[in-house]
Amino acid sequence: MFEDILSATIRGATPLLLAALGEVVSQRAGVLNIGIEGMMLIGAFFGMVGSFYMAEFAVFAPWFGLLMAGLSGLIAAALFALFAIRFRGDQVIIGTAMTLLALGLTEVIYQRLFGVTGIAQGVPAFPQIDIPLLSKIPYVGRSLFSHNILVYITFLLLPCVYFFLYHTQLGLRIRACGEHPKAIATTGSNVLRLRTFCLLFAGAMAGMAGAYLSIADVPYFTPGMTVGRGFIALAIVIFGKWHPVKACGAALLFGLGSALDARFQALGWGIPYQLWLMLPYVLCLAVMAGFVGRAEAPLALGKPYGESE
Amino acid sequence: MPDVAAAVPEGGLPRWAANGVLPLVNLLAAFVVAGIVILIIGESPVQALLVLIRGAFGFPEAWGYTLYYATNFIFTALAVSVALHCGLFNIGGEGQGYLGGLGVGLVCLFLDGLPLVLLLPLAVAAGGLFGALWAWVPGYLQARRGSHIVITTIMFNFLAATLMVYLLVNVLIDPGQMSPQSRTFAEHVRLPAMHEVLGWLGIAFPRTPLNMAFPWALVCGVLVWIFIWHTRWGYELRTVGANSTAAVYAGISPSRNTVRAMAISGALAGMMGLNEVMGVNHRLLLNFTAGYGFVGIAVSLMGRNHPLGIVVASLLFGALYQGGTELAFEMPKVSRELVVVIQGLVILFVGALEYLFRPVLLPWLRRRRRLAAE
Repeated sequence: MFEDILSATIRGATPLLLAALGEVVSQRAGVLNIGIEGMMLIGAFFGMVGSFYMAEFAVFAPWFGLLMAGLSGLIAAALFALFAIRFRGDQVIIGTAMTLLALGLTEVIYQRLFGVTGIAQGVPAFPQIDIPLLSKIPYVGRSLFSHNILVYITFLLLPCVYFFLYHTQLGLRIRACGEHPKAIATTGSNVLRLRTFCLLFAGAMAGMAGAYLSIADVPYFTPGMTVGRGFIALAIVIFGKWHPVKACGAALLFGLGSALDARFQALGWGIPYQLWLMLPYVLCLAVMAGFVGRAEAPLALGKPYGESE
Repeated sequence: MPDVAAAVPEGGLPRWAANGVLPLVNLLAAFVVAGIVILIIGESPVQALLVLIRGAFGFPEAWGYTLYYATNFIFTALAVSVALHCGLFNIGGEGQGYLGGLGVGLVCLFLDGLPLVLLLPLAVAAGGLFGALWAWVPGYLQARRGSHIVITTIMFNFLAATLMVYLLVNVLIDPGQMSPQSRTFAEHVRLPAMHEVLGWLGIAFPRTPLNMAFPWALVCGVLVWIFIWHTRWGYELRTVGANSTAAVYAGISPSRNTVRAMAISGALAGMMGLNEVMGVNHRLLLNFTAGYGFVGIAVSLMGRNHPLGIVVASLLFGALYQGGTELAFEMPKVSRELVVVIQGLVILFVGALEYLFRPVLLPWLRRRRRLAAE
C-alpha cells in the first residue's frame, strides 16, 4: 500500500512540477502567466494529435507528440508575450483569455478532426520503464524507478532549473528582472527580451506538462482534461516561495493529495467519492490561505515594463 | 496584485471613441480571427456570419432565445464589473451562479407550500445569499490572507461543480430518475414566462425560455449603476479599485471593501441561477451554468464595466450564443465551442489591444478634426 501511494504521488506530482518549473522561471522574471492552464490544455491536445498521426512510427510517436506539445505551448506563450510584454496589456486578463481560447479551440479542432464521439482513443503513449537494478531496491524501488520517461525527465529538469536560476549569470539577470527591471536595464540587459525568453520557456514546459496528461498518464484527450491543474501549478509556485526545489516539495504534496484521494475513494469509509474529488482543490485553498507571503513574491511581478521607464 | 482597473484606461480618446469605437474595433478584430478559424475548418466565414445573424434575430423565437441568453450574461457581467471596480478579477461567476441556483432550487423544492408572491422574494434572496457566500470566502482570503483571487475563485468553481454532483446524486435526486436531477417544482413555483406575461397583455409571443428574470436583470443593472456611482459604498469601492494606498489615507478600508465587493458580485452571479433554475428548467440539474459565468468576463470588459454597456454587450453575446447554436446545426463542421473561442478573443483584444488600437485611432481622430476645422 505504501509503495502504491508513493508511486501515485510521483505520478500525480509530475505534470504539476513540470508546469510549475516553467512558471517559477517566468514569475522570477516578473511575468505572471495565468494562461498556464490554457497552455497545458493546448499541450495536452497537440501532444495527442502528434502521437495519433505518427502512430505508424510506434515508439517514436509519443516523442513526436511531446515535441508538438512543447511547440504548441511555446507558440501560445509567444502570443501571450506579444500581448502582455510587447503591448503591455494586463497579464491577468490576457491569461484568462488564453485559457478560454484554449478551451474553445481545442474542442473545436478536436470535433473537426475526430468527431463528437472521438476516434482518437488509445494513441501511442510513453511506456513504463523499469530502470535496471534501481527498480529492484526493496520497498521504494518500484515506486521510484518504474515510471514513464517523462517522470524521469521532469525530476532531472529540477536540478537543471535550480542551477540555471541560482548559479548562472543569466539566471541572476532573470531574477533581477523580476525584482527591479529598471536596474537590470541600466546594466545593458534587454528586459523585454529576457521576459519573453522566460515566458517561452514556461509555455514549452506547460505544453509538455499537458502532454504528460494525454500521452503518458492516459492515452487519449478529453476536452478540458486539465481540470484546473494549471491553476494548481500556480498555487504550487506561490507555496514553493518561487523556488524550484521548494516548488518540488509543494508539487509532491499535491501529488500525495491526489494519491490519497484515489485510495480513500477505493476504501470508501462511507464518504461519497464526490467529496474526495474536492480534496486537491481544498488542499490548494488551504495552501493559499495558510501562506501569507506577498512580501516574498518578486517585486515587479505582474507589472508590465515599458521602454519609457 | 495586478492593477486590473488600470487595464481599461480612458486617457487620450474622446469618450464616444473610447466607449463606442474601441469596443467595436475589438469585436471586429475578434470576428476577423474567428473568421480565419472558420476558413481553416473549411467553411465560408461570410456564410457563417449570415447564418449567425439570421439565427439570432431572423424570427420571433430567435429573439426570445437571444434575450434569454442575454439575461444570464447581464447578471454574470454585472457581477464581474462590481468586483472589477474594486480592482478584483472575479472569475468565479460560474461557481457562484451554480450555488445561487442551488439556493433558488432549495427554496422552490422545500417551501413550495407558500404562494408565489412570498416564494419569489425568498428565492431571489436565497439565490443572492448562496452566490454571495461562495464569493465571500475568496474575498475574505484575498483581504486577510493575500490569496490571489483568480486562483481561489477558480478553485471555488471546481468545488461548486463537485458539490453539486454530490448533492444531486446522493441527496436531492428524484427517486424515480436515472439522471442526477431533482424532482420538477410544483406547478405554481416558477418565474412567469415572457410569452405568458405578454399573453395576459394580449400580445402574441412564441414559446421561448425567456422569462421575468430578464426585466429583473435590467432592474439589477439600474441598481448597480446607482450603487457604484451614487452611493457612499460605491464610492469607497471605486476608490479602493483606483488606488488602494490612497484609499487607506482617506480612511477607507481596502480589506472591508474587497469582501463587500466580492459578496455583492457573488449575489449578482447567483441571479443567473434564478433565471436557469426557476425560470427555465424548473428543477435542479447538473451543469446549468454552461459557461455563462465565464462569458460574463468578456461581456463586462466589452461593456467597459458600465451597466448600459453591459446590457448592449449582453445582447450581442446572447445573439452569438443563439446564432452559434443555429450555426452548429446548419454547419456541422463548426462546433458550438467556436463561441468560446470568440469570447476568448474578445477578452484578449480588450485586455491588450487597446494599447495597439489607441495609437492608430488617435492620429486618425486628430486628422479628422483638423479637416473638419478647415
